[in-house]
Amino acid sequence: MEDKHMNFAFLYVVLFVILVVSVNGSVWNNSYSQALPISCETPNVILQQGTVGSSTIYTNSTSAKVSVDSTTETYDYVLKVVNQVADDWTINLQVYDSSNISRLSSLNISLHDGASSNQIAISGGSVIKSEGESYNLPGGLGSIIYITVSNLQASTSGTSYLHVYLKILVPDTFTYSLYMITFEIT
Amino acid sequence: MANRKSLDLIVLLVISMLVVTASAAIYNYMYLEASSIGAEAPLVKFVSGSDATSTLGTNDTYAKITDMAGWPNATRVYEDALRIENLDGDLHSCELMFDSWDGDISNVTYIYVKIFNTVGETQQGSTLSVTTGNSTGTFDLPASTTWYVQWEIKWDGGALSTYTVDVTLMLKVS
Repeated sequence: MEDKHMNFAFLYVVLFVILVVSVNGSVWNNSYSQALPISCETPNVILQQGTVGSSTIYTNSTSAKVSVDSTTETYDYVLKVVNQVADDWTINLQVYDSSNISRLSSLNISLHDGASSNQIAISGGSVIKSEGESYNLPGGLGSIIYITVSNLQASTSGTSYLHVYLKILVPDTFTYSLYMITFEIT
Repeated sequence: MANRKSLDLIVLLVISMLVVTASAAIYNYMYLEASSIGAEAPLVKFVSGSDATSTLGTNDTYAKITDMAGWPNATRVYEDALRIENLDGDLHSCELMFDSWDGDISNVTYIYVKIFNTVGETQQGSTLSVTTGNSTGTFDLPASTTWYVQWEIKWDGGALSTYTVDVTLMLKVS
């Protein structure tokens, strides 16, 4: 008999909880946001091979791989950044990943078209500068900025990889494109 | 004999009608009223960002971004594509959810949508991936605050300049 009372009490508790949960139903509003169309454009800035080192330019010229050997200290230049339109751009380089760089005693990667801007620096096996200052790519078809590797020294043999974004910013906006460039250093 | 057959037929018809009548449904009507259902001024609305052109619907509860694009095999980022503003004096829980997309979707590497408290500052909620169709999860938009919607678009290396996709997202505000 006592068990029966207990069961009823338990049932009341369960029903009360269900009632409380039921009266707390949610109220919300749905709004819609559309993006249409999102289009694919022909790139307005492209990468081209340099005159030293070994570079591979991938489809559409928006990504590249550069191979250099640490027996040579300076590679000027390994890649070209070429403007395809009349608009100005603001560009810089930024490291987003790396592997086995502890063997690198020193390395600099810079942009130049005369005046040089040191963008990325490695010293004592660590990245000490991961992003460079903004650099102007002037408007005009065929306008060029060069990418140079310098001060390259390695303490041991091996292969190091430095994965870098070339950031191409529309001036005075928060809109930019990121090109992936991989530096393979043996 | 003929009369007997006719009588049998009439009896059969009567029985058939009886069966049909007995099978008819029985209804009870009850009434529920909702009075009055008002039209309120929205407490959370869309605001155009500085990086893309948006067309806003009446009352700013609908937004269409019309000019985003990307270059093949490169990530295009619009840090201030659209904004979400809380006009209320209380915080509101929000969730930005994937609704639908169509077009040349097989040539898209990814489209990510992220919410930031300020351009380039702290991300709020999770990353919405249009390509996988998830959501930002719930985030609390503080009272009288505007947050920023960032879009990241990457087309495949082989995508052509004629390719387009259309994306629809839904903002749930509690």
